[in-house]
Amino acid sequence: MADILGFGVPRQRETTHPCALPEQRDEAVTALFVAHHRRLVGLARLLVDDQQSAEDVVQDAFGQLHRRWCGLRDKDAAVAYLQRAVVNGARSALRRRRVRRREDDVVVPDAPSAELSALRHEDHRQLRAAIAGLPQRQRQVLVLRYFLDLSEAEIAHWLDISRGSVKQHAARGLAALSARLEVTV
Amino acid sequence: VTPPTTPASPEEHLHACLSDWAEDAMTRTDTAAELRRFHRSLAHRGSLRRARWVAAAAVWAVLAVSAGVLTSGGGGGARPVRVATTGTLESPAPLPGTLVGARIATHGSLGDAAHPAAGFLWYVTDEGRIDRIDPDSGEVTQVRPGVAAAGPFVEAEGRVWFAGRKGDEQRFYGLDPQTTRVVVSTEPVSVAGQLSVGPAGLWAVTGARELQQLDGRSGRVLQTVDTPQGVYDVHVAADVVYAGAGDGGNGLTVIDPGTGRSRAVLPDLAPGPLALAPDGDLWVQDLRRPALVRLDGTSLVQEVVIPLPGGTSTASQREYQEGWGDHVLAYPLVVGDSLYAVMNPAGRRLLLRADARTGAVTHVFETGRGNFAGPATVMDGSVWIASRHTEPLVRRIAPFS
Repeated sequence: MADILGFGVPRQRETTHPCALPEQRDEAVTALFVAHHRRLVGLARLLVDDQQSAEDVVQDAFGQLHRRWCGLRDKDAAVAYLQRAVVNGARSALRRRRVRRREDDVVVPDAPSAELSALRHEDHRQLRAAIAGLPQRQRQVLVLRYFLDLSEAEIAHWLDISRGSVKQHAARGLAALSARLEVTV
Repeated sequence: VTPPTTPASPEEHLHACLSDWAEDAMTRTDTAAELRRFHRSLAHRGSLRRARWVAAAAVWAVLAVSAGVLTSGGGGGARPVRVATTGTLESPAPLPGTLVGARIATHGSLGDAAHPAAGFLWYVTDEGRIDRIDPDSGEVTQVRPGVAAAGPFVEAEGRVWFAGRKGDEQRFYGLDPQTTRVVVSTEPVSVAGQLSVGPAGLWAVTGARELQQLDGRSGRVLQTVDTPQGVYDVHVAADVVYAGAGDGGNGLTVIDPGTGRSRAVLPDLAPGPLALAPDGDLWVQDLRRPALVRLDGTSLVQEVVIPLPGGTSTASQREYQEGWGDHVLAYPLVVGDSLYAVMNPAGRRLLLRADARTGAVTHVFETGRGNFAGPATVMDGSVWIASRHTEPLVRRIAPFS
């Protein structure tokens, strides 16, 4: 179709895509939700400042997956897609929140869970605070490296940065945390 | 609890900390509830076919309301206490109708609930400024009172009154609701706390044990009342003033506004947020337990109890509840024959509606994103809720059928 009015060529409606019936798509995404939701919330929580935002980021990630399900060539890559969506979504959420500079006051504050209350690891609490205070990129790199166990190459691919940058961010992040890590190790 | 083993290296320690942190978040999330939320968002986009597989995940149970009978332990002798059980609070009914003027973005983070006064909704942002909402148009007017403001807002003698702080000095300020300019203030007080207005005049909490009745036009002090039980919250009814200790204190005091003397004291209650019913009775949360209690307005005898769902509230609410345990905090509101209460149990956002007389719960609504900033309010026949989230919102919910 010619774009004679300059508004861009209309895209084909998603519902006409032949890859799956809507019910099948819903079913597949729901199954993924049930299987991976908790783990993704855990990942998101490491990247944002509170539980509510983490859950919102994961909701958005599943919403994206649902919208783009038909365009996903490799359905086995859905989990990786979700993880990347969470990482990117967390970045956006954190950026929005920090612009507002009200993150401690306007969100659902994290309560110490029963588990945390029981353990009361002061060193972990302080380390968490230190991680939360890292620049966003350093925090992302450390979480991807030490929580998801991704390689430098994978992190570089996910974050769309060079491997050198990954190394640099990881080194700086670890250096920033070193005092806390050394004290507690 | 088994003490953790010491990690061998900083990297291992970091890994252990991250895993522990993530596990903590995973423990606290409710996948079933989040799945329901996800399905609702899909349905909202019109892309979800309500297929058979949804049925297992999204259960819309009918609230089973049953009643039991206990005997009151209050000071007025043996009167029956009806206990309204709320049944399946875990499966709230869907929100009926539509949100009207659904999202009014505000100028700042909501620091308090909206309060109706002089035909507008007023609330304070976390920055201490005031926003005025026109409920008809949704227009938000930013007010800069020149002091750090705090709610609630009440209207008396053509002024909208609120508490304000400038440096170390606290006063109550009255502004013109049309021009939004501050036109009068009281003398400095040691604490500028809660305000309430009613047929018995304008009353303010001015100290840990002190209430003052103020002239609604000039702000002049008409009388000062000492409350031995302590006072945190005040509510003015037709011919009485209720002073709730709250904030770690004990007791609810009924004060005669004419003499300033107490008519009755209920010492065994840790009163949280209060709401007055038109018939003079009182709904209040006893902060020691997750329950809303209806009290006889004169005798303070406990008449009805509505148990609340399990789960803790938000951190700011826990601060308010400090010393009284870690359970949900509900903000009651009585409108006509209905009792409404907003609460944030375990990260959920519920609006409960019950028969204000019997306590029978008729509806529980899950209202979506954002914690409630305080009690709901009613204006023009609609329920308004203010929520705090990444987007501060004031939402108007259409009248319930």
